[in-house]
Formats: sequence, structure tokens, C-alpha cells
Amino acid sequence: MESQNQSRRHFLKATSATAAAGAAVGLGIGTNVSASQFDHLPALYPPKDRSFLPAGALPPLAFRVFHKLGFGPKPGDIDAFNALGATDDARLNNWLELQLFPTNVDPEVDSRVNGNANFVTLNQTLTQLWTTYELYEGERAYQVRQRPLYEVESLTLTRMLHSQWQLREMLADFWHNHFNVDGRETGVRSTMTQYDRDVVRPFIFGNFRAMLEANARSTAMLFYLDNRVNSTPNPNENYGRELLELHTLGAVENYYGFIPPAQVPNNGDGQPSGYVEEDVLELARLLTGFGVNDGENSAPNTGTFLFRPERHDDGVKTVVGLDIQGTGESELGVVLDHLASHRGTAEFICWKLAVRLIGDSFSASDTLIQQAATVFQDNWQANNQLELVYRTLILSNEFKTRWTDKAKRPVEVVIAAMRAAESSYTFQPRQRTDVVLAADRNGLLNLFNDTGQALFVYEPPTGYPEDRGIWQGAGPLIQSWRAITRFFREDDDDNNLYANVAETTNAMLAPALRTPNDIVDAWLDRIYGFTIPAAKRNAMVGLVAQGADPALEITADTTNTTNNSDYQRRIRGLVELITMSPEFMTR
Amino acid sequence: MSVGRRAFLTGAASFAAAGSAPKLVFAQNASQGGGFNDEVLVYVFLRGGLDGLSLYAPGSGHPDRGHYEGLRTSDSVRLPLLGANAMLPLADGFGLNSAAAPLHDLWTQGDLGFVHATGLPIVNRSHFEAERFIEFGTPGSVELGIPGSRLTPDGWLTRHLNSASNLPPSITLPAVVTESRTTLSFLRSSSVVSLRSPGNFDFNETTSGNLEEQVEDTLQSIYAQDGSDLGAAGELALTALTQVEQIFGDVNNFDYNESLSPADRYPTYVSNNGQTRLHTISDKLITLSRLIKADVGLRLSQVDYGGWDDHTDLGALPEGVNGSSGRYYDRLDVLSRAIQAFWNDMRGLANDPRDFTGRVTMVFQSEFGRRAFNNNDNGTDHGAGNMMMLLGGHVNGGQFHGTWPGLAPDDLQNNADLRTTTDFRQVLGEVMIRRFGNNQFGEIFPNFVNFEPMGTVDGPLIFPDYGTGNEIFTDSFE
Repeated sequence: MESQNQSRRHFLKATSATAAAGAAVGLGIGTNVSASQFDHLPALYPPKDRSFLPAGALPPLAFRVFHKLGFGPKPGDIDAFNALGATDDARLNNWLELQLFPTNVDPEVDSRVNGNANFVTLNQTLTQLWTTYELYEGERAYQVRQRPLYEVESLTLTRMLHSQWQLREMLADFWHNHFNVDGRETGVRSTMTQYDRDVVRPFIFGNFRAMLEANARSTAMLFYLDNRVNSTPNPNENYGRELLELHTLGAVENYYGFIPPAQVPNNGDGQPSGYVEEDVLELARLLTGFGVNDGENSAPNTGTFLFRPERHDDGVKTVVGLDIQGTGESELGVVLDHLASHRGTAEFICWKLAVRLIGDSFSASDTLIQQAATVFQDNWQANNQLELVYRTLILSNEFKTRWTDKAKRPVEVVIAAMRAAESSYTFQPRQRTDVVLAADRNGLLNLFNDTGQALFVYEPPTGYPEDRGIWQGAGPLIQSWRAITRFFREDDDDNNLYANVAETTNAMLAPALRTPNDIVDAWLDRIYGFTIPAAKRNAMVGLVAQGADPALEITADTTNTTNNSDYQRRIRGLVELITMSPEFMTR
Repeated sequence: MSVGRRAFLTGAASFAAAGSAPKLVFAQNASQGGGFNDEVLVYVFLRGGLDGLSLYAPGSGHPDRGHYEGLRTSDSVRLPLLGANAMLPLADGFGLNSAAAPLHDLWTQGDLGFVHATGLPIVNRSHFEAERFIEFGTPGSVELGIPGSRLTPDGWLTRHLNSASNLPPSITLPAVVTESRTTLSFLRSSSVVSLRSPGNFDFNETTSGNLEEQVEDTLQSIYAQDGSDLGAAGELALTALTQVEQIFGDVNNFDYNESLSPADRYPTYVSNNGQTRLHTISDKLITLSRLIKADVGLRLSQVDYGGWDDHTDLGALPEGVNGSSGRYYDRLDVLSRAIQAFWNDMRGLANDPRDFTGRVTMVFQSEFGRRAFNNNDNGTDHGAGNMMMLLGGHVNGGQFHGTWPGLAPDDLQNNADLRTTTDFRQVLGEVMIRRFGNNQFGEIFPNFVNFEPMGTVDGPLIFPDYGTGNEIFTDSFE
């Protein structure tokens, strides 16, 4: 089997050489290429249909917890989880109570970021960021204005990879997508540090209503959805629409289109159960004048929030059944109270959280969503509202039993593989030498662009999609795997060393035990902790053995663990196979 | 049901009027000669809600010009009659944005046409909802009594490919989206390849030895043994890797473009660090051109060209002209030049004179049009009806199809939008029937039962099969 595969590839390589020769004339196309040149390739039509879910036993709870609620376990995490109690329920409960209350202690992140000269904006105020980076004019303006974005992107990836507060990082990613902004845009790029630090993260375990208002007043969102310039009498509806459609009630269940507001059916609270176009127009009117100190119309140019009464519509507005008097800036609090306490918002947010944390196939009417929505709604003014909601979702039977109806997204695939390999990598921008304020994005992060999931630069306000159908395609899979192969061997930066999986192997196995069979089993146990079908395991053994007897000591020199030694590359290939296999690609 | 019944009768009437008795034959390409359909669809989705009234608009002789000027009060969101950026005349009194001059040439040559005021039959001003309903081939939301739309789990092109009965028994690479992720139109297709960057579509081990290929091959054998849909997806991905490696070799799209004669090249730009780069749309269309010319069986493709959500500073004119930011203008300019380059490429170039235009149909669509009037911020908000554009060797170009709804106050939808006069599925459906020979509308367009051929493309008509439960519409014309 294996040898057939390889001979096929060798044959293909030969034809590739032919094509390359042709390319000298016609670049691989044209009259010198016959129509049948590619007929030997395997066909993708007709489609192969397979069952929806893989058969087989549920992996151990510890494995599932780290893959669902974090970016995969590091070696040791699963043992630590299992030491937290005598039963799965006790372990999950105790682990969750730790993760729901993250402290400032995060040594694996701090040691990489604190004092790192590539990160300089993380503690700057909004006005510092604005005046230093957004308003910068001069050499390397692009790399100066984008620097806060580059820092937040790298900081976030470094946290995903190394933080002990894995649930916090998973939820930070959720809320960043919920309140998505495109970090490349004017007014967003330079304030990303503040958006992440002051607008999203303080509220992750706290109160949704408070997060919503911080967001509404944030420079990044005011720029991204254009409310900065929203003014009477012809308001632009961009932010108002997304506030209803994406941030609170949600369009999926609660958008009633063009019918008159009076025709929207009432919910159990006696309120309209959703919103219509008229509500979008009314909310857009209410939001007129909510802007930024951007230097326009004699405002100072500090980048902070500014309410402009002269641009505001002072009339009465009716939003989702509530009449709101024209009182100016305080109208925002009134409408956000209304939306944040609405049943539709509770159901929409809880549905989205369940889809992120548990599985794709929920609907708002499911019992668990209704339970969580009641917790959300009953506690809408509580300081620990979201903590209570997470607990309801995570301690549910649905969480404890559902598996494989959710694909990891590319960032989760790549980071989980790096954690499994104990990569010590630090994601960081590159301080430029010509202009002190300027930094370049780490060029390897383009690998994430190719996967279809580069952080903080998704253009539409929806945030990245969840549906496994989107991510289980050729592009995201191949490009995620490509990124893994690249990051595993990365060693050309002073601060980073390749994932030395050869040394890890040597630490696990005495020399006499370093047979392909034992090496594969040791790594499967280390990364999975459960058995997989023999045929898959044997395919991995074949790669490590390279044709030799897999029961005998490996033919490579195990004392040579340099980056490109035969031994290192074989083990690296093995760890790649384990972290790219179907068992590792689901959540 | 009565509405559907009436619409059906209208549809039947136009069949009769056109004198086209339905024939159960499949569209075939004469030059191909076999029994299999070998047409290629390039479905370009202009995401964000393109302002159709800044692409073409009533000109000086058109009765709606006054209304247009009254709605588009901002100088930078109104196409001018005079000056350097005067509209280019089309037909029926309409004129084209000067940024689209290359499209004007294609119109004049008869390969490019427009359909007026298309859209979802149930207007939806949410980007992601409207895109989802369109790409799932459905009419809109369930609340207003049309069942089934939210329950559709896959894309309309997925269902077309699954229901087509006139394709060869085996196709190497039948469907490609030029994006990093699968598009909704192909959701849950087990045949589509998402291919954004063919130049780096493989693993990235160190180059010495053949470990990279061994890992790829071993992983493929692992996925082939996995009985799940994820197993199938991984196997497809790794098969695609092998295909792309072979088809594109070591020549990336930039170098391909450089190898063309300067007049034939796709548009490029100079990046922040001074390097010449392909525009994204150029890169994507080159990928398709190379796949079409490689004869690997490509039938269906989707291309995204987004960024049209111009709530502020839309900029329908060049930067600085009439206070325009130039954003829309520049986007349209790049798109138009890229389309022109692609079509030239399809007609045949010096290095490959084969002409593929007889097999290729391009359809351009956006999720909705924008508000007929501009807002305070020289932008436009979400609206309803929008044009669809078609380009192809069998497109009945140089003319408008469908019905212009008018811009007078009473003509507008919801007092604000260009009224939707043509269900977008009429257009996609006609392309499916006349060019692709697939009449399985019960599969492709659930709950769509009133197909009326408009003559947007030529090719034999087949009466649609509306599927189980809709037999009344499929029995006969009587």
C-alpha cells in the first residue's frame, strides 16, 4: 500500500518535470499540452458520500474539554485535569471553577511578552495610541499605523498557545468575533490594543450589557460601522442595523423584515419578539451624534468618544416596542437596557455560545438554550452574568456527550498542534530598525491568511463563520496543515526554537525502546491518550520505520536531534500525522 | 398557493408566446460532439451590496433621470451626463459608469448584458441573511409563508452538481471556488475545491528528501480509512493537493501573468513596499483561466469580489472628482479590467489560441441593491433590487433583460428601494436550463415553481422538473 502510494507520487513527479519543461514555452498551458495530460489524476466527481459522523467511542472527557474549551491540551494538562477529582463530573466542575476566575498569573505568556521590545503599545492609553499611531505622518506610515493591530494579533496567538487560562482565550476569540471589527481599517488598526484590552476582555466573565455599551462607545466600532459620522436628518444605518442583527437580537430568529412594528408577535414578556425595518431606522436615528474626537468640526483629535448634540436627532424614537424620549446621550443607555434585557437577545447569545462551545446543531428552542437564556435574562444586570451562563452550558449533559459535530477552525487546528508538540514559539511582530515606531507583521502569519482565518481582519461584521461545512474544505484543511509543517520547523528567529520532538522522544524512551512501534505508541498516548484503529496507527509506523522492521530500533541516529536530522524529521512527520488526523480535527 | 398558480400560468403563457415547445433534450456544445455537457459557469459574487445605480443609471433621455438626480443629491454618488466621467451610453436611455469602460466594449461586442432589478422575492436587508438565501437558492425567510428556505442545508451549486445527469461518469476537478473557504453556494459539496493560492497549496517541510510527499500520502491513507464525512473531506483535500501540484507546477499566477504580452495582462498594483502584485480579482480569474485551459473538467466555479458596503463616502467617481473618495470607482475599474483580461484570455492568446468563450458563462450578482437615495454621509444604505450581469459566448448581450421598475416615488419598493421585478432564480434557472441542461429545479431551487425564460442566454429550453409535491406545475402546459 505504502509503496504503491510512493511510486504513484514518483510517477507524478516525473510528469511534473515534463510540464515544467513545457512551461519554458507556454508556462504549463497551451498547444504543447495535450488535453489528456491530467487524465491520470484521481477524480473528484462523482462525489464520495460518507456517513455524517464517525463511528467509534467518545474520547475521554479530559481530551474533549481541552479541545472544546481551549486550544488543545499541552502534555501534562490531561493528567492535571484527571487529578482534579474522582469522577468526570467532579473534574469538569473543579476545572471550570478554576478557569472561570483567571488571575494575573500567566508565566508562559508574561515571560515572552513582558519586556519584549517588539511589543510597545500594550499599555498605552487610547489617546496615546491615537496620536502616536493613527495620526502618524512620515516614513513607514503603514507599518506605524498598523502596529497596534500586529501586536494584538501576535499577543492573542501567543496567549492561545501558551496561556494557562485557556477558557478565557477561547471566549475572548468568541467575543471578538461577536463584536467583529476589521483591524485593517482607519481608526481600527491603531486602537486594536485598546479594543482588546478595555472593550472586550474586561467583560468576558462579566456583564453583557456593560460589554455592549463599552462596545458602542469604542473608537474601533464607531469607525468600523461608520456611526462616527451618523447624523440627522439622513442617518446611515450601518451600526444600528448590526446592533440589532448581530450584537443583540440576531436576524436568524428575530428579524421580521418589512412588516409594520405593530404586527410583530409578542413574546412571553409582552414585548415584540423581534425587530423590523422600522426599528432599524428608529435606532439609526437614536444613534445619530455618537462619534469620536476625530478633529472634525472643531473637536479635539484625541480618538476618544464624543457625543455631538448638533448631529443628534432629538425626536422621540420607538425601538422594539419601547418609546424613547429625545434626551441626547442618555438615550443610548435606555435602548441598550431594553435590548440587553430582551428575551430575543438572551436566546441569540446563548445559542451562539452553545454553537461555539458545544456543537453546531443547536436551535434557539432547544431546552439547553432556553435554560441558559433564562439564566442570561434573569441576571442581565448581574456582574457575573456571563460566568453563570457559561456554567449552565458547560456543565450540561449536551456538553458532556456531544462530539464530532464541530470542526476546529484553522487557528484552533494550528495552535492545538503546536501545543501538542510543546512548541516554544513566540508570535511577535518585528521591530523595524529604520523607524522606531514601525513594526512589520511576522511574515509567517500569512500562513493564517491562506487558511481563511487570519485573526482580526475579517471584513464582514458577522465574524468568522462556525459551520463545519465552511471549514472542512480543501482550502482550510491544506493550508492549516501547511502552517503546522512550517511552524514546527521554524527556527530562524533568535527568540524561537523549533519544536524539538526528537528530544522529547528521547526523554520518553530509553535507546533500546526507540523502535518505530514504541515511538508511535508513545506519541499516540501522549497526544491522544486513547487508541485509534490499527490501520491508521500502522500507517504512522510506516512513516517512522522508512521500510525497516518497526519492531527493531529505529535506523536513524537518535543522538542527532538538530532541526533537519533524519531522526528529527521522522518524528516531526509522525507528530504531524497525529495532529492532522481526523481525531484531532474535531471539537 | 394561488399566487404560485397564477405565476405559473404567466410562465406558461410566455413559453407559448415564444413559440418554444418544451423539449426534453440536453444542452450540448456542438464542438464537443459527445453526449456530455461541457459548459463552464463562473459565478461572481459581489459581496457587500453593490450599488447598482452607480454601475448604470438613467441618462439624459431617460424619463427617470430627474427622479435619479432627486434621489442622488450627492455629487459623488450620481453618475454625470457630461464631462470626463460622463456615462457611457448603453441602451434604452441608460448609461454606464465610466470606470466600466472595458465592460462597455464587451456590451458593444454583444457578449455582455444586464438584467434589471433582480433579487430575492422576499426582500432582506441583512447581508448575511440575503447571501445565505441566495446561495442556498431559496426565496427568503419562512415567516411570510414560503416554507423550506431556512431548512436547506446546502448550496444551490452543490445541488446542481448532485442532480445533473448529463456529466461524464468521472471528472478530475469539477468545481472550484477561488476563495480560502468554501462559499455557501457550494456548502456541503463533496466535489468542490476551495483554492485561493494554487502556488502554495501543499505542505511545507524542508525540501530535502521526499518526506513532505510521504507525510501527504500517509495522511491521505489515514483519511481514506476514516468512515466519516471529515474523512471524505480530508481525502478530497489531499487529492486536490496532488492535482494542483500537477496542474500549476512551479508557475505561480503572477509569473503566468508576466508571461503574457503586456496588452493581455490582468491588472496589477504596486504594494506598500514597492512590489508589483496581482489584484485579488486578477489572481482569482487567472486561477480559473489556467484550470479551464488545463482541461481537467472544470464545470463550476465561484469567485468573490467584495467590499461594496459603501455606507459612507461611496465614491462613484474618481478620487477628488465632485468630492468623491473614488473607492467604488476604483473597485469597479479594477473589476472591469480584470474581466476584460479574462475574456481576452478565454478568446485565445498568442501562447494558447484556443477559444473557450463558447463554453463559458459568467454571472455576476450581489446580495441586494442599495437605497435609491443617498444618506448624509455620501453613502447609501441597504436596499432591494439590483442588476445581474451576464457575460458569455451564448449570452444575449448588448441589451437589457427584465423590467426596469422606475424611480418615481410610487415606483420605489418600501418608498426607498429599486423595486425587485425579477426573482434572481429566473436568471440562474435560465442559465441552468439553456446552458447546463439541468432542469431539476425541485432540487436546485426549492419552492420555485414559476420559471419564465427571459432570453438572457441562448440554448434549448427544457421544462423544469419542480419536484415532488409540485406535480401540478410539471405535468404539462395546458
